[in-house]
Amino acid sequence: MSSPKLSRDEIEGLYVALGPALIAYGCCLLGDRGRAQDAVHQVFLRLLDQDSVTLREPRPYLYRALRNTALNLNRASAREQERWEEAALFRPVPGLESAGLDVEAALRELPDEQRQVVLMKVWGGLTFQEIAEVMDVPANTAASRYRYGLGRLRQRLAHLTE
Amino acid sequence: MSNDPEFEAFLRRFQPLAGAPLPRVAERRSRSRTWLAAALLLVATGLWWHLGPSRRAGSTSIRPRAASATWGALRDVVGADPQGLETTLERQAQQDLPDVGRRDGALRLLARFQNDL
Repeated sequence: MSSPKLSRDEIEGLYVALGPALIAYGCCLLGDRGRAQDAVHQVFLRLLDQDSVTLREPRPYLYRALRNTALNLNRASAREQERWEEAALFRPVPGLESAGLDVEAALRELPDEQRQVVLMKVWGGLTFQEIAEVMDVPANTAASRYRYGLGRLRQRLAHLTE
Repeated sequence: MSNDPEFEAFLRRFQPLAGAPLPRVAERRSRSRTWLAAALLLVATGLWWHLGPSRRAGSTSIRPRAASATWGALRDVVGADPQGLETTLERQAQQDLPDVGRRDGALRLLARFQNDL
């Protein structure tokens, strides 16, 4: 089966659809929102600069490209990933503003690898197989990290869901 | 709320913030062109400064230098393939100087070019 070629408009449409979740994942990798947004822009601008882009599965490709870009940025700036700054990650939901802050805090408290998997699965919509390809781990490892991460979140946010 | 899909649905009620729009490609290309123009201007100014007659008393101007280089290259071609040059000159003479119609015209031009140096 041949892969469809993406036009400029389609790439920009992908940014609108997937950009927010990618930036959230970038925050997890880079430690702050400004650097995350720059990294996501780099990924999409590279795509726009190509004459013809063929992506079989845009979603895992974009997550993997962002991960590589973030690793390069961390290496170039000789900065280890720092803890997230207190920048907002989610759009405020009317009536649930403080719950949103609790979810962000709970995500920050997760071990890095579990947080990455949770972000890609819940907000990125990737399958375990795709997450495994992004992170270079077996699919079973990605699934177990997800289970542990989600368990911790559920425990930490029990007061909101009961 | 014990099963995963239900808890996942709860988490998805909180949607990530949107990022800034992508910079427009046209703007970036325009910026690139501006930088390219500035770089070319800088190189041209540098060349003028380096080769210009006002730089050193008694120096030759850039024009004879360029012409001399052209003539040198022409002599190299003649040395390498005199017959080829003659054929080219004849064809060019017929094309550019139809009223002369003979290679002598082109050869006269060549001689004048040499004298101008």
